Amino acid sequence: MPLKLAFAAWSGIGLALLMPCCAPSLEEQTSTHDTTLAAPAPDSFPEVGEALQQSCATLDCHGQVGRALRIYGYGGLRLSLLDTPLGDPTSELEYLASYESLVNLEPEVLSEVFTWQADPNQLSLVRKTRGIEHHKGGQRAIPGDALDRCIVLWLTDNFDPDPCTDVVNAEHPTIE
Amino acid sequence: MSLGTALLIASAMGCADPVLDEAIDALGPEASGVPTGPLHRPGQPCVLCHSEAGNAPPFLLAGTVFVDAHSLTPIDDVRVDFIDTFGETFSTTTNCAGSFIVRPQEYSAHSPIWVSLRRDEVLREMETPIYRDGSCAGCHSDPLGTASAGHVFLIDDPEVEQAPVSRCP
Repeated sequence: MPLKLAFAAWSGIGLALLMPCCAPSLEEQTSTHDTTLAAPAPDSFPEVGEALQQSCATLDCHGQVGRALRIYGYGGLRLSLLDTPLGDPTSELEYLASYESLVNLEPEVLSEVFTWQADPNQLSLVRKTRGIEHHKGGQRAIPGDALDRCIVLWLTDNFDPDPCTDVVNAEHPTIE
Repeated sequence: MSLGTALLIASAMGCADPVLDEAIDALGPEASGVPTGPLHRPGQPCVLCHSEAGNAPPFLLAGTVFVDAHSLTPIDDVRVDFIDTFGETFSTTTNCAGSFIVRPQEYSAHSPIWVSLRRDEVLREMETPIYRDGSCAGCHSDPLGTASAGHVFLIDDPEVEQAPVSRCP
């Protein structure tokens, strides 16, 4: 190795070793920036979760571990290794797992929507549900319908369980 | 191999879907003695191959019905009824391999699609609808687990419902 190249390589390593000493600590970084992100409370999620379970969480959609938005519960993907899709009712832990999956999709944008009532269409969850953005599962809600209100009111800190209940209780077409 | 040749091969390979290819390879070879056709590969995810990307005649919906949850005996002559979100219906019947096929030109369905099975007095309704996967086995594969509902079956409780007798040779 030529001398110049060897020197450059070793100085690079030296700099890399020195860097952690010079960089601001995590405490220093967090003390100068507001890193608190807001989100809807998990205790209001089960009603929303039930509506999502009904509309989005079959095993061929968001009831899959490969999805960024994954929804756990009865009729779909289960959290407990001992459970099956049609086994136990949706558990508290499953609601929590689904909640965490949802609020961690776009936490910064969600915080804006929740705290400042920013346009919910900024969230890909809302855009995809409304069919504004390409969604393999197609348009699942029309602005103002029960599923849309269930999700959007919850996201914007105006939670109302009634539209969520309407989604869950909606009758589907049946064969005579 | 020149860089040009390597790039050409890489670009040609880029047209394939490695995930789909891997899923199809995982299905394994044909069973011996069963020719390619409506009786082959019962219980497998039909639409993997029977799609535009899979290079076999496309199916909209397809699957296999077995007698009960604990048996891999296929059941023929089961009526499979579909109704989509707009109320459009379609019915078909399982063959001697327990399989049924719905081709895209037969049924223009919009998801979600609800499914029920009927043979004689037995009616079995799927609890959740189909949204995306036209293969029953996409969700209904064995073993039953956290992310699979197990194979499709007609008889829920053999003590209450009588297992139908096959009409196949």
